Amino acid sequence: MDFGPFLFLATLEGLVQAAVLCLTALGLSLVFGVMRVVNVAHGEFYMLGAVLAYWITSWISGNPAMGFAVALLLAPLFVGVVAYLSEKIILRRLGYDPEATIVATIGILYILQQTALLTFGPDARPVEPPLYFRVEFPWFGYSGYKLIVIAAAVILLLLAWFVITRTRLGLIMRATQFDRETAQNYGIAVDRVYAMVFAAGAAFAAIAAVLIVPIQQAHYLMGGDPLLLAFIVVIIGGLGSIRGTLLAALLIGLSDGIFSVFFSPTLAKMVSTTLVALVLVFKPEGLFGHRSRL
Amino acid sequence: MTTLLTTRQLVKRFGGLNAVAGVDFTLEKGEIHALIGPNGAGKTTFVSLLCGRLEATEGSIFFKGKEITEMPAWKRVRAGIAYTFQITSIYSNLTVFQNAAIAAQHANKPADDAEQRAKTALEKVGLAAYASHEAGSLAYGHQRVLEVAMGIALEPELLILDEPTQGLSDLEIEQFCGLIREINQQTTVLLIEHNMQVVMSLARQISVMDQGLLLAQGTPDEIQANAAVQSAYLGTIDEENVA
Amino acid sequence: MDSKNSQILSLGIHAAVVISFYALQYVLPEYHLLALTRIMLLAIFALGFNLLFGYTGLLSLGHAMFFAAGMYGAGLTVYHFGWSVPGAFLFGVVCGAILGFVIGMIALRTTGVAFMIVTLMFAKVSYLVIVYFTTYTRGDEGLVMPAEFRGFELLGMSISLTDSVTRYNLALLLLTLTMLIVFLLVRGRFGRALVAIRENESRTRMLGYNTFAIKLKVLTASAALSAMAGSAYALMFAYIGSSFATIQYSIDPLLYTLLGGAGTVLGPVFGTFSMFYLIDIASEYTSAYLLVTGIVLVLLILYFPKGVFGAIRQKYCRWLP
Repeated sequence: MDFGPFLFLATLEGLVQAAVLCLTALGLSLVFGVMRVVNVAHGEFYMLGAVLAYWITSWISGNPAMGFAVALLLAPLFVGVVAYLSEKIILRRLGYDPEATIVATIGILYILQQTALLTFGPDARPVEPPLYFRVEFPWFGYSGYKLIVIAAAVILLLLAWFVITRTRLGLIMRATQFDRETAQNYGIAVDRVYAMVFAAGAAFAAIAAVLIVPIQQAHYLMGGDPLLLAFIVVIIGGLGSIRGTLLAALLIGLSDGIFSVFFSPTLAKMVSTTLVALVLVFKPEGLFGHRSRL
Repeated sequence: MTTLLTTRQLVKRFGGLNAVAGVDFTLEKGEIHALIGPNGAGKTTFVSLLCGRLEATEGSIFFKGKEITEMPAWKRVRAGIAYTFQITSIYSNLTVFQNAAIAAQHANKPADDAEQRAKTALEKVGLAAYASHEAGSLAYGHQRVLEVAMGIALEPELLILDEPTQGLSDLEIEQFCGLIREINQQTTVLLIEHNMQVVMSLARQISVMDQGLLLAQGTPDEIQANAAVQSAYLGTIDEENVA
Repeated sequence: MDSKNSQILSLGIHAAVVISFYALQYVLPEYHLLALTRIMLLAIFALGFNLLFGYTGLLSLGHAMFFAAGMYGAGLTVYHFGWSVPGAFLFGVVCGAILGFVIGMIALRTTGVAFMIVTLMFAKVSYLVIVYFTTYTRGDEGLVMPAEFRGFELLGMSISLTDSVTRYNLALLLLTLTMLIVFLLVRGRFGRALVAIRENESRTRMLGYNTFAIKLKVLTASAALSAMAGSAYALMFAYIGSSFATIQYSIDPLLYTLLGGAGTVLGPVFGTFSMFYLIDIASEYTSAYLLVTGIVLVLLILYFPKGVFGAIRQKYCRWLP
């Protein structure tokens, strides 16, 4: 293949990455932005979404699209409930102390991951794509499902954007993010907002996982990479800044996708992780954000 | 009299706001100098520049003839500038003695007598009896005094006190004034103070700040007679007192 | 209790722990001898971690990189250059100290949550470096030290690391040394400065302490101790592998320390001991034994944040170091 088409293919792969990353990172960013909680278990909510998608699709026989649609609805819902409960049972009791919550979310990480190992087992399992067709470009054919993933992510992000900026719910969230105490004084039930945001953040990760699982297979250890990438995105984008997060997810997803086509993925990860750590040290407000409150 | 500290056109800018807007200030050795002015005048910002908690945007600071503008805060403390916080900032989980000892075991003082100097500082402020108490369990007034004791334990040449009498009872304020006079025998004192009785009874020099600028400087009598100060500051204090 | 008596008593308690470890080798069967050797080395790792976390208040989520620095510093020189055990051991410690210093220069510009994430990321990079240079490290699969490098002469004695009792006693020696080092560091003026930084760093700076330099020293010492554990681990068990650089090995010392009690000397030792056996027992029943790790972490942070020895100290004897 010539370089031009090859780059185009790499860009498409990068866009798929970026789409899923946008959703995952948005969840992490939302939780950090509103609650100031660094959720290390975020990757496990993603994993849980994928594992549930496997189960749901294998229970529902018949048209794979049917099972997939149910999974896309139920998996995030269930993950949201799990997150809601862990927020209520664990994080709230810690008073959202930043360091204690990190330790607690590490604990939650292990609990979710190992429970998946107990029930789902150590093997990677594929989920059938809901539909199968190829889009023929002049140089190569490309999976139509991957293009749908990109489209679905865009739609979901627009939806999230709309909720956050245009609705009363979003206003309440932003008020809580801006100043917890004032929000409380204005009669906002901050506790409820926190639990909802934590659940929503986890649900975003689960949606991303359900979308990707026909391409990547479900595995109990699959949460690590998206967690790292989402961290990178949230830090580069500016902690708690949603616009920055989306911009950074696009940048990182694309470059990661393109990089891994041309270079060793280990090297790419090494370089990007180092750079991000340095950004956090020397430019904590991120490359696109303006606030630094970590 | 010798000059201990001077600033030249000192500026601190936060975004577009000039919190300190070009201050020329002189502090003589051995005096008790009060810094007064309405809320938001830039007093705390100004002394934070002196002790190095904040970095100056422009201008320069000289201490004992040497420029210290770029010096990090911890070095200024070792050079002899001690600062006590406006909001009590003690180690509340540690004992009163440990609080004083941390201050006393200053790197450029002999190591062995740190404990002794901590004890002395506590005796001076009258907290020796509480030495083994947890600092956080002390009454508020005692916590303020411990804050001062930590300043004393540093054995500084210049002690900067940021609103030391805030929240103290009248009796405690009286004792506090006595303490400051005693400290002043070895140490130059610069204090930010809102209580005008304290200012008038302690200070030999008063500087008035308003909107980031030094409005006037002089003896208590001169300041009281100054019309500009009257209108900018003293008037509002009276109203506050009435209220 | 006056301070002199309390010092003697606390020294006595620590000595008693060391002596009982020593006595145990005469009654323990081979399996537990091996387990305790590992426990003692991991306890050194936890003590190093605790120096930073418990006394200075800096929570690193990347200490596996220092353990791995020691492990690979020692292991690679033995494997590729045929260095003798003592030289390789020291080299491993030095590698850890240097890495600690360099990471400290960068990461200590941050505090709190940012410090946690930055150390986590640097540890991730270290892991990736090991995997990337798989030609020399054999990555995940790891390297087994050849048998001829497992004996050495020191001070006229010939020592063989294939003998389990020898390994046990060497590990005990290192553990005792580490406890002594930590004990000396945290008792005196230096320890007071560390605690001051933990309790209120900005105040400490305003009392004339160069807090950055102090934290850098502690991080370097903490890294060196962690590397010592890794170095000894590689040489005694004749294996190095990238699994020792995973996040798991950064979380373990935190878990041990939290369980035993942060900011105590005996806490991490006790925590390592209990956690090791807890996991050991759990792994007999299930492959998902790390579930125990998760549950213990959550329970500790919720109900028992001071750990066993932290609670004992608060209740009964405040003088315990």
